[in-house]
Amino acid sequence: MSMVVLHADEGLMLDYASGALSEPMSLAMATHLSLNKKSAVDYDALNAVGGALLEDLHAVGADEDDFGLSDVLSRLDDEPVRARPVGFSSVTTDVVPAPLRDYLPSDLDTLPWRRVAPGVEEYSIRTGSNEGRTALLKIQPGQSMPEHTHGGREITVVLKGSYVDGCETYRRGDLQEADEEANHQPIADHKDGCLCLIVLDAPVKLTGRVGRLLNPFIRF
Amino acid sequence: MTAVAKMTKVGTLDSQKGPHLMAPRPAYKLADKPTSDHLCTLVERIANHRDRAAFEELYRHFAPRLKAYGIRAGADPITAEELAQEAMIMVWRKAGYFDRRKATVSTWLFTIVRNKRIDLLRRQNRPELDADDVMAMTEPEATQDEIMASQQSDAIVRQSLSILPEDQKRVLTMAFFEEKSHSQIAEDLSLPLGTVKSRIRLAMNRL
Repeated sequence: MSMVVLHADEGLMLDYASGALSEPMSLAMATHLSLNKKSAVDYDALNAVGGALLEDLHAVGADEDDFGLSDVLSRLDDEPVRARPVGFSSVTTDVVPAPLRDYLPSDLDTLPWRRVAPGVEEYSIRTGSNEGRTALLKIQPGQSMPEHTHGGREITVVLKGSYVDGCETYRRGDLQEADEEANHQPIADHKDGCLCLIVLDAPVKLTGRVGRLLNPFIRF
Repeated sequence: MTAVAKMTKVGTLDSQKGPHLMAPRPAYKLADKPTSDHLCTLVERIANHRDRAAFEELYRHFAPRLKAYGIRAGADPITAEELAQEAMIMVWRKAGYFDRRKATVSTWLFTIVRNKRIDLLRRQNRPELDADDVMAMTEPEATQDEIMASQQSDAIVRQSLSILPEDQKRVLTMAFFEEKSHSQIAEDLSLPLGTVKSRIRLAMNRL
């Protein structure tokens, strides 16, 4: 078993809700959940479990102190009111959900895209994690990605357009999880192409005949 | 889920302040065990009036639990108390974002302290979804039932948790308190990954 489903599986969902995922994987989940109502409802349910478990926890060191209440009260006045960040045009806000927008320095059309393969452009996203790879990929209509496998786990979330992989079509908000054994070759929709977020635990390996030759040169 | 859908629709803020005709008064004293409704009102008082007395009451209820959460997550007592304090300061700052139609105060606080823990203990950012954005981004097929489903009261979830089979509950507590991924949990319990996943799925269906 390698390829997974159109919405996040229960293991991934629990890992995101409990806080066990890395920052890049959390970014992929936050993006998926922003776009997929069904997964968002599951996430709410898991948070409610966290809330109930928290409520049932026994207090630690109950009577002997005020848990720093006076300190905290003295700090309250100075706290600024949190403002929602703005500054994106509808080119971006119609396509990219809020958690992912926080990682973009500018609108989608003015990002420094880099051509990584024929018909494939990439914008590499900086996160606090040095491992793996987080990027937006823009794939031209009908263009296929070189066939590849992964050294680790890969999560793809579709932001715009769609792609076909095997016999499954992935559309806006869908999430695909691929593990080490998965060997796949996504093909972007023939009309609209595809814009997606990819998060990799480890670099991909090209497996096609030509791909193997390119392996030392290409990363995507 | 059906029981939840039958819950009374939450009205305006003013109607919450009136006597609760539908629900009988709890037998215990309010100060000992605040109702879910009362906790919501406290957060709303902070949001609307910067009410310090409301903040104090919330603090006395939650700070010990938040500290206990930090200790369960492996922090020393001093760091755990710092975590509790930072989480409560977020309550003060973000009270305006709280929406009783979307979550209970315990659930909201769980998400705050979890994200603070990642920030404080792991020094990592936590990409989090924005509830308003979810509504804006998803197709308008979110039914009233689905919205109601996120209003599960503490009582219902806690009751469901208490009757959950031990093996399912164990997976949940290991995940939420010990910061273990489901694959680590499978390893620790010497169980196949599929078994852990099906326990999570079973638990989610029950809740």
